[in-house]
Amino acid sequence: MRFSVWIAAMVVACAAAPDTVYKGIVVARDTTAVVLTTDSASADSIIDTVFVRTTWRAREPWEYVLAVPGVLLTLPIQVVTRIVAGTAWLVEQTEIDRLVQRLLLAGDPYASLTPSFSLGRGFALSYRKYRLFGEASELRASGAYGFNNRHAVGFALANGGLFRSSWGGALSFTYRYLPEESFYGIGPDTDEDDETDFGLQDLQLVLTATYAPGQHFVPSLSVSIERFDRFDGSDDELPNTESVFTPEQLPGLEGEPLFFGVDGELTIRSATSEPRPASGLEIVTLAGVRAGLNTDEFGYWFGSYEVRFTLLLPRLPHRAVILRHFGGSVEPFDGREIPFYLLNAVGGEGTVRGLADERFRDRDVFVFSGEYQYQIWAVNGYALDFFVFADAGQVGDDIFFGLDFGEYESGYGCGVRLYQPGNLVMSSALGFSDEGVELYLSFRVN
Amino acid sequence: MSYAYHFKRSHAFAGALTAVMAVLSGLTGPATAARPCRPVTPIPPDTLDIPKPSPVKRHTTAVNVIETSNAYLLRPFDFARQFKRLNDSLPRALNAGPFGEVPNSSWYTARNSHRRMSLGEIARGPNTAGGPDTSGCLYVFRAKDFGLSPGFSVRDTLGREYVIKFDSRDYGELASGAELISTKILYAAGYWVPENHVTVFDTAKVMVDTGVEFIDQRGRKRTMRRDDLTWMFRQVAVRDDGRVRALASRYIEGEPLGEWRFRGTRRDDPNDFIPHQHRRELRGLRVIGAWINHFDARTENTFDAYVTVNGRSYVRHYLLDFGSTLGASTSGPMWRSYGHENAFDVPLVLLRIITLGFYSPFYMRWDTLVSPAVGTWEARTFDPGAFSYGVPNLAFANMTAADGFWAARVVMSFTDAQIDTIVASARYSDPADAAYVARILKKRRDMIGRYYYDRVNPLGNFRLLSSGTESPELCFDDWAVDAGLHRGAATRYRYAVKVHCGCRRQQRPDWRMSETTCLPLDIPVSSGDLCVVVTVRTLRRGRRPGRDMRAYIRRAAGRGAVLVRIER
Repeated sequence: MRFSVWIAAMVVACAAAPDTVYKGIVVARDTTAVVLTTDSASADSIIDTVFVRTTWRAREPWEYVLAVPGVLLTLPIQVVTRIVAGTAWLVEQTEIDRLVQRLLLAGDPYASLTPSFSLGRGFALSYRKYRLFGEASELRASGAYGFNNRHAVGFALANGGLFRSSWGGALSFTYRYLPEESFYGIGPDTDEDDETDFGLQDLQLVLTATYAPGQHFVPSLSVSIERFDRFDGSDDELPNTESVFTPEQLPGLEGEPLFFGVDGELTIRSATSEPRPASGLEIVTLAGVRAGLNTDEFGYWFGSYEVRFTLLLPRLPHRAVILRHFGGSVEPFDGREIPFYLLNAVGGEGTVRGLADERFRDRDVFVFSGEYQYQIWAVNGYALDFFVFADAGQVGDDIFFGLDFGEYESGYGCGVRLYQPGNLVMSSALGFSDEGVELYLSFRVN
Repeated sequence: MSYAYHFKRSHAFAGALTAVMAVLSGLTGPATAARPCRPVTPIPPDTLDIPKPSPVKRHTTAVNVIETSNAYLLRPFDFARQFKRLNDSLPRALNAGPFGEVPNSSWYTARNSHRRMSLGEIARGPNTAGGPDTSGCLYVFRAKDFGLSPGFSVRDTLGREYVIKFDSRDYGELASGAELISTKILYAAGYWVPENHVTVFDTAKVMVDTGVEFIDQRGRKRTMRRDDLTWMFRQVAVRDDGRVRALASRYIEGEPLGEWRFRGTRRDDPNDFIPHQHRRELRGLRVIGAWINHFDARTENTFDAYVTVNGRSYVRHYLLDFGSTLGASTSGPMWRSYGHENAFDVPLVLLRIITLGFYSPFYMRWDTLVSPAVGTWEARTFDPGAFSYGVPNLAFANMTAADGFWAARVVMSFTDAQIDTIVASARYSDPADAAYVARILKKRRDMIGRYYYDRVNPLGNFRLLSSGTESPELCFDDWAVDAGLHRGAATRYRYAVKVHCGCRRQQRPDWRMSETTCLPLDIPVSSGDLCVVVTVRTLRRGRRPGRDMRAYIRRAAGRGAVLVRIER
């Protein structure tokens, strides 16, 4: 069809200009140009040009045949690339990036709006207003909405440098609604097939006093009132925790306990606060006491201890070795009990990647993690780091005698972190364990 | 491969049928293979009068993503292309002339490589007038968004409009010097570039026009104020006398039509009939860009303008924005990996993953900051054949040895005096900086010449000399010897003269040797047309024999011989 059009155009051109001499035809990719001239020796005497669209065949038939396997081989990646390019086109077309920048209050020295996302917690948005009533005062408001209808809101009012001293204070309020939490039983020997689900609401009011003489040493003391409401899980495919366990077996299944808590925390930090890990040490120790206020004879009364230790080995160009340790314990006083949802847990980001979230629960926990992160690409303020990790952890009923160090649950994997201008960090990782594979996706603004 | 079919009216229909049959049968191979001495039809001009095409907005990020993915995903798995690459038979540039030259067009004008420009012409470059008149006030009429570098557009008292680009505070003269030098080099090389001037002005004489829209640091659109200028001037390099040095880039004449791509054609421009990836001047830009470290040659830095010249209106194609050339990367020194890696270099990324980040290329270990005005400009890590651009493109990927040689010839056409003149026009305050920049330019020029001249038979300027006898001499220049890359005394030319019979079984070549650049030919007397093919190979002492090249000579009965074309 195309060729007949081409020939027809040639004939029409001949008839229309009977005294002309055809200088030549150039067959190009998109256009066939028939250049008409009175004198083939002089380009200046061109009197008309007829253009006929056609397809320029740059390749011979055998080349097309030979190219087919390659096209099929790369088709999925090409589809992804086109989607990325299409997204970039959309962003440029609509100037959506500028709109987002404005929405996120980029450049506003007195306020910020920062989104974050993680596969586990869902989408969150945090708003901060600085210098509200003093140089170091701050209002924080945050909201999160995750998969399975999880959501949370929080408000906090903080002021550092109270009375021009190193003391600071904060008052915070948090509400969480978690309708589909998993529970596999207590102890290190639970089976993944024993998964049940439960729902939980949590309301928390915390008053914190902080003493920060410098960046490296920050003690704080906080008092809190916290109310929990456990209810049936909403996942129809899993049995409810209540249908599998009795209240006698599992403290916390019944009631809406109200806790009064006192916590002390000490942070020792020499690591830099830049978004990419560099070098240094961070130790966070935490000790606290919780007492149930509305249960009979203070049915719940327990203490908790926690140590988080992060060591970044030494500053290497574009790479970092990160060693983490987390040890925690909750101990009931006077033979009292601890609600099962306040036990320590292993599984998921922050503990053992590759295991399902909070896969194992018990009073005590021990986790070791090693990570090696190194830069694989950087340009114009963007940097892409690759990391490999290995995590190991275990729960038990006694941190000194109840943990069997020979039977740790382990996970390993790798991932990438993309650092962008504006301290935006996007992360993606795959964790492997004996129980399967877990995908971790997140972005956050540091 | 020639896609031009030459015929006259009487043969029009037969020619058309032949062309159609050729296309139908897929025989798109070299049309000259069967009749090598057929005269080559010149490429029609692409400066015909056309209606104004619509301006386009190229979505540069999308283009960059697609070009990068094509380079790493599509082309490596295009087995036909890989086969042709291994066979060294990538398609020839479509607009290359019979002697390898590039005809003048809306893309390119042969300048220094065609006729050596005088030092005055070289220093003037594309400029038709001086820079902005800084004796009076400069009025800001358009603001640049907050980006990598501050800048704005001004109108001087003479009504001329310029884009003003500043050097960053810690690197005075760096970006402006690099951009000016690269502009003049690319202009002399033959490309269309904007008029760029280094200018110095008093910041107090810069005024803001009323109603200039501006996007501030917070991303808000508002009217520009004087204090925005004050903020801007705090970010830029200020001279000891309190004045500011900047690059003034004059607005390109004509109507802006957006960017062009390194592939395909512009559909609404009938003059644009040669796919860009098959234009020799765009393929060769890979070599010329490598010379000046123009790693940022990509769609974003191109420009189409609808111009009117001698009563004809057509699209002229420009290169733009050379602030990231030589040792500069717009706001600072050029990063060490630029020129060695693509912006997203997939093999290197994979290599770094596999080696746990311990793979560190040699160029990452050099500390090459020469001075704030020069940046990281050097020749130690320069590899002419391995120069990588930020965004790979199809035109560069299609570059053949002949394209590379053409471009190297353009590079080698710059003399030491011309380079010194161009560098002097950048007005570096420290003469040592100027001397260094010029020295590295000369060094890289010679490296390019040595690299690309050795990849083909570097003979050129072929002509037939006839002294009235039946057999003329085929003379040529050895451009590698002329450039001082090889010694003439250590060079011999092995050649064979053969009459092309068009038959399947060709006669065996009779190899001869010559010490001079004129080869006597014994063309037999014949009553009919003759097509004579002269194959020449250059032999240099201590080196492996180079590649063959062929000259095609046509001798019509009763007429003299005519050199038709050469094949490299």
